[in-house]
Amino acid sequence: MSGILTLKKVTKYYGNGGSVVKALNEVDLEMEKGEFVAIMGPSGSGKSTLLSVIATIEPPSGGDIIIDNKSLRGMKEKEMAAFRRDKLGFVFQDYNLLDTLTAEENILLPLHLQKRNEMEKESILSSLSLRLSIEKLLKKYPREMSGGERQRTALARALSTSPSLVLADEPTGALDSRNSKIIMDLFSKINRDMGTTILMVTHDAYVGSFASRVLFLKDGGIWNMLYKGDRSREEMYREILSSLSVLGGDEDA
Amino acid sequence: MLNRLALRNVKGQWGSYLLYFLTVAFTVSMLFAVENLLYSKELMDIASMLSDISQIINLSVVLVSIVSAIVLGYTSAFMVKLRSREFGLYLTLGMRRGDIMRLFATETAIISLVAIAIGFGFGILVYQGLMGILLKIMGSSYSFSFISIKGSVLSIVTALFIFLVSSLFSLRYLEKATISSLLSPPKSEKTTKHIYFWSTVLIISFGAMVGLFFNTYSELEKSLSGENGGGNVLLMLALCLIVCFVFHFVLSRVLFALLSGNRRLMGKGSNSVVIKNLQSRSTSNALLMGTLSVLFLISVGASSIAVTEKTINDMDIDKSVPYSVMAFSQNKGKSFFSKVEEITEEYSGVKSSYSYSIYTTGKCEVSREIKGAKESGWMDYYMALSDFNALLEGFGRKRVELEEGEYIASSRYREYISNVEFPETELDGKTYRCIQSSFSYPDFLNKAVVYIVPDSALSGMEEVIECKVFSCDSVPLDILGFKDQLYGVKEKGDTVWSRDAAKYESDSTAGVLIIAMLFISTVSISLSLAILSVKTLSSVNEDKRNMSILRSLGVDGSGRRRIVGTETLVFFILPLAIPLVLSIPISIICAMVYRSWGMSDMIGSAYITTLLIDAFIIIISILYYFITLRIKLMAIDRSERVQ
Repeated sequence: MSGILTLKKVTKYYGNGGSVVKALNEVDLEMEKGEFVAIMGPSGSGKSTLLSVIATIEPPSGGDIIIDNKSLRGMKEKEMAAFRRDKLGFVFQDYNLLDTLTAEENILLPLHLQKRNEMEKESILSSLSLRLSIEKLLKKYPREMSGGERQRTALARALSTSPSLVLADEPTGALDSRNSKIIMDLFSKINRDMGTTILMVTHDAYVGSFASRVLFLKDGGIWNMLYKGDRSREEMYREILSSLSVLGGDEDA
Repeated sequence: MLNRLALRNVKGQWGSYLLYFLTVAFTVSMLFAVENLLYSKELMDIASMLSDISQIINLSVVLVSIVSAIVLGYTSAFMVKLRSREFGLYLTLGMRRGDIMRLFATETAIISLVAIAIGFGFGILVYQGLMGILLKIMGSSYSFSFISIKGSVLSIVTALFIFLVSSLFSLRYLEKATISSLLSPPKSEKTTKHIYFWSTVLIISFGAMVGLFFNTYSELEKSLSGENGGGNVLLMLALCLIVCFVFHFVLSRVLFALLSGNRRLMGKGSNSVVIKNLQSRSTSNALLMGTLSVLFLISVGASSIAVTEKTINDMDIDKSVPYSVMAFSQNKGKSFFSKVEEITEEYSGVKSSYSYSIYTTGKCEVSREIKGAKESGWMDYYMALSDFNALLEGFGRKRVELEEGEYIASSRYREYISNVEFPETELDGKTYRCIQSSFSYPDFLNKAVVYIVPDSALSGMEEVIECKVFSCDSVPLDILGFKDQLYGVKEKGDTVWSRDAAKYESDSTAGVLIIAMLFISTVSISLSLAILSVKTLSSVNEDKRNMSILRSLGVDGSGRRRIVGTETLVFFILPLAIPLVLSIPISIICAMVYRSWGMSDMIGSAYITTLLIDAFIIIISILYYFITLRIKLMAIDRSERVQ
C-alpha cells in the first residue's frame, strides 16, 4: 500500500484575543491507500475539526496536509474546489442530498461537474446503483426515501468520481441499528472490493469496529491507536469500548 | 417582559425585517400620496366640473389597497416562516401560545408603525411629485401643495386596516401550528404531474393570447370607426388579462419540468441543480407568477394608454377648437359677437378675428348616406371654399383647391365619414361630386359634417349660422372665470367655445387619468418586484444548505454565486418577460389609434413610448434583482464563514 494522506503537525485554533481554543494540537497522521480508518473520541476532542480540515472545509492554523501527494498548503480557492471535486468524496450524518434532485441526479451531479461523457456517466451510475442496491430508487426524490436509502444514495454520490479518499462524518448518526449495519457492511464491502480509502468519524464503538484502524483523539491530539489485525469485529468492538472507557475516565483513577 | 423581548428581537433582526419594512413604507407612501391627491384643493376644483375624476381616483385607491393587502400578507407570512423555528423554541420553553402571538403582533406593530411614519414622510414627497406632474399636464406652474387632513387620516386608516388584515392570517397560523411543524417546517417540494396536459394548455393559452391580440385590434378599430360600442373592447382586454394569468400559471408549472427532460442540458455542469431548483420554486409559486404577470401587463398597458390618451387629447383640441375663441349664432344678432369680443379682449387680448357664414339647402341629400342622419333630422351644411382656406391659412395649414363641380366632406368624427360614399348633388343648377372625405381638417363649425364647396355653389342657399373666430395674444389667467363670462352672454341659438377652457378641462381629465394610470403602474411594478424579492429571500435557508453541499462537491465560490445569480434572475424574469414582449402588440394598437385619429405622424412616438416604459420597468427590475441577490449572497457567505 502507498501513502494517501499525511498530516504534519496540523494545528487548528478557534477564536481570537483572550478567548482562543486549540481544537487540534500538532496532529501527525499517516494513512495508506486502501485503509479504512475510524476517528473516535469524546465530545470536544477535535474529531469533526480534524475531518473538516482534511476535507478542506476549514483551513488549518498550522502544519501541512498532503492528500494523494498534493499539499493543501497555499492552495487557492478554485484549486481547492477542483481538488474536492476530483479527489474527495463526502458522506454526512444528515445525508446532504439536494432535495430538488432525484437519487439519480444527485449521484450524477459530481460527474456533470467533471464534464464526463454520457457513456461514462451511465456506466458508473449503473454499477454503483447495483452495488449499493439502489437501482429501484433512482427516480425517487430524497423525501420519498427512508434514511438508509438516502445514506446509500449519498454513498453512491461520494463514490461516483472514484475519489482518492472518502470522508464520512457520523454516517450512521441518523440511522436505526438495522440501517446502520447495512451502511457499515457497504463501507466494508467497497473498501474491500474497490480498494476505496475511507476516513470516518464516529462516536459509536459498533461502527468503529468495522474499521481496520481506530484513532482515539483527546484534547485535540491522538491519544491512542488500535489496529484490527486478525481480530474479529466483536473483539475489536470490545477493545474499542475498553479504550473509550479509559479515555473518558478520571485522570486520577 | 414581552415588550422588552419584542423590542430586542426587532433590534436584533433588522436585516430580516428590512424587506418587510421597505414594502410597508413604500405602500403607505403611495396610499398617502393618492389619498391626498383625491382630497387636494386643486382636484376638488376640477372635480366640481368633472364627476368621472373622483371615480377614477377612488378606483385607483381600491386597486392599490387590494394589491397592498396581498403584498403585505405575503411579506407577513414570510416573516413568520423565517422565524417559525424560533417561535417553536419559545413554545418548547413553556411560553404560552397567546404570548407568542402577542410577541409577534408587537414586533410587527413596532416595525409597521415606524414604516408608516417613514412612509408618511416619504408620501409627502411623492404627493408633491404627483401634484407637480398633474399641474404641469394642466398647464399650470408648480406650487407647493398642502396636504389634506382628510386625505392623511384616510391613508393612515387604510394602511392600518391593510396591516391588520394581513397580520391576521399570520396570527391565525401561529395560533394553529403545532410545535413540530414550527421547529421543522414541512418542505413543500412540488413536482409537476400530467405534463402533457399542462403542455397542451400552455400551447392553447399562447394561441389564445395571439388570437386575442388580433381580436382586440379589430374590435378597437371597429369601435373607433363607430361600428360598435366599446363594450367588446373591454371584454377583449379583460380576456387578455385572464389568458395572460393562465399562460404564466401553466408556464411556471411546465417550463422547467420540460427542460429537466433534456438530458444533454441537464448533464452540463450545475444545470441540473439550477433547473430542478427553479422547477420546484416556480411550481410552488405558479399562482403568484400568474398574478404578477397580470400586474406587469397592467403596468405596461396602463402607462401606454395614459400617454396615448394625453397625446390624442392634445391633438383633438387642435382639431376641435382650432382658434382661441369660436362663436356661432343662429340669431342673426351682432351684439352676441361684440360681447364675446369684448370679454376676449379683456381676458386675453384679441390679435385677429375672422367672420364667415354657414349655409344650408334645408335638405338632407348628401348626408343621407351617413348612418342615422336622415332619421335624426340632419340638414346638409355648406361652407365657402374661400372662408375655409382663409381659416386654414390662419391656422397654418395648406390651402385646398376645388374645381367647379367638386366638393369636400369634412368632419372631425371619423365614424361619420368613414366608409361613406357621398353622392353627387345638384347645387345652383350644377352637379357636384365628392372628391374627398376627410376627418383630418380642423373643425370650423359645431356641426357633425360640413361640405366645402366653391363660393359660387352657395347662391340660392340660406345663410343659417354666423360665425366669428378670434386669435388671442395670451392665455387668460383665470380660465374658468373667462369661460363663465363667455357662457354668460350666450342666448338660445348661440354657441361659444374657448380653446383654453377646453384644453384646461381636457388636460385635467387626461392629467388625472395619467396620474391614476402611472400610479397604478408604479405601484403594480414595485409591489410585484417586492413580492418576487421576498419569495426569493424566503428560500435563503435552503440555498445555504444547497451551497454547502455544492461546496463539498467541489463547486468553487464563483460557481456557487453563478448558480444563485442564475436562479434568482430566471425567477425574476419569468413573470416579466412576456408582458414586456406584449408591449409590442400594445404599441401596435396605440399606433392604430393614432392612425384612426388622423395622427399618422405620431405613430413613431407610440413605439418610442412603450420602449421607454419597458426601459423604466427593466431598470427598476434590475435594481430589485441586484439588491435581492446581494442580500442572498451575503447571507450565504455569512453562513459559510460560520461553518
